[in-house]
Amino acid sequence: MTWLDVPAPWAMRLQDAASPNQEGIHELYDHIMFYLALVLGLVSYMTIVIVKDFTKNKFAHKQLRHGQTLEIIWTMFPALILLLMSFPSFILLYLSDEVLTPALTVKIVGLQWYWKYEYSDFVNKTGETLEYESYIMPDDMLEEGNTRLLDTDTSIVLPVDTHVRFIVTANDVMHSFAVPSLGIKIDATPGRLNQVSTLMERTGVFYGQCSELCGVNHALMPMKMQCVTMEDFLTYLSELSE
Amino acid sequence: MLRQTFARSIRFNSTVAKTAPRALSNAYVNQLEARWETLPQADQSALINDLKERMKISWGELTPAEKKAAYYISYGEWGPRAPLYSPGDKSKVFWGTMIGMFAGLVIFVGLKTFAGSKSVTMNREWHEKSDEYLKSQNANPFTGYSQVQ
Ligand SMILES: [Cu+2]
Repeated sequence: MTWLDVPAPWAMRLQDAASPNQEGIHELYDHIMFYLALVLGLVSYMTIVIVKDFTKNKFAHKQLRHGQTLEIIWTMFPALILLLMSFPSFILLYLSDEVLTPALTVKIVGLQWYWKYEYSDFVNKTGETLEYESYIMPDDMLEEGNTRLLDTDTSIVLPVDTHVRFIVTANDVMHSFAVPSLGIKIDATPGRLNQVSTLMERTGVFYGQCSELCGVNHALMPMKMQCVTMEDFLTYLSELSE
Repeated sequence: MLRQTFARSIRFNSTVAKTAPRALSNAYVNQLEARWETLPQADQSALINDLKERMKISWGELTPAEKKAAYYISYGEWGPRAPLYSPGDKSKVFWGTMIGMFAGLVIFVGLKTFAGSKSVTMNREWHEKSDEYLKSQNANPFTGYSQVQ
């Protein structure tokens, strides 16, 4: 099984979790896969039995036209399965939605076709909020080892083990801010502020891609997020505010 | 034997017997499948009526030509029962598909031939460098991974 922070050749399934959100998604995925396997097993067993012994079997009888019990069973069973899947799903959904006590707020603005990051809690020496833009690295500027279509010139730098709130919006058309390793995907809509929060549990680099079709260069506006220690973060901030 | 005699006597005394006593001529009903569909509507319905009358007697006494004609009109391959494909159609579909697939292949190879060069990142050295960088950044710390393909 391939678990990744970045997309990789032949990768399937979800990327490694770096936040409680994504851990919850992994758990829900496994949970639902259990019921999926159950249903797949049952349905294929019945199909094979009916096809193989089409005259004498437990499930099909040529003279059967109506069965009250059968109808009840095949209505209640799927309903029960759906119910069992929906409870953990809703619990996770509402937990992910919660923004409780963020220690830091970052404003993220989607534009055609780049992102703008604003550290709204901090100002530089001239009293303006810290903000910068982040563009994709074009193919002719890539340095050996860079990931094509994922690396950017600047990245969002955030401290580890800190509750961070993202306020997401857009300036022209709809975009979507998504970081799979953190289990985040939230629409960036012009004229609207959406908020989501995360708590990164390990340092590293996480990539994401715009997830709302926003024009010709929709594929060319990735986001790169670097999670660093608190000291490194403070150094980064002070360099930024020079 | 007795049954046949019996049937004849019934027919002799019935009204039906008088309307359809004679077999339709072979020239009239023979080889019907060859000309049925080109027959004018009036002739078709006349033939159907004649056969209907004939079929009121015991069917065992119809001539083979009459039986064939009656069967062909009711169940033969014409009108709604005409076969979906005429003999030539299947090979036409087959060759059409073959030509389409070949054209697809030609377009694919043509595009490949005239396409620009591969991206600079598509080689082993680059992928190994990517691995190095991403590993330094703790990418997938649990199971390890590789960009190399
Ligand atoms: Cu976009």
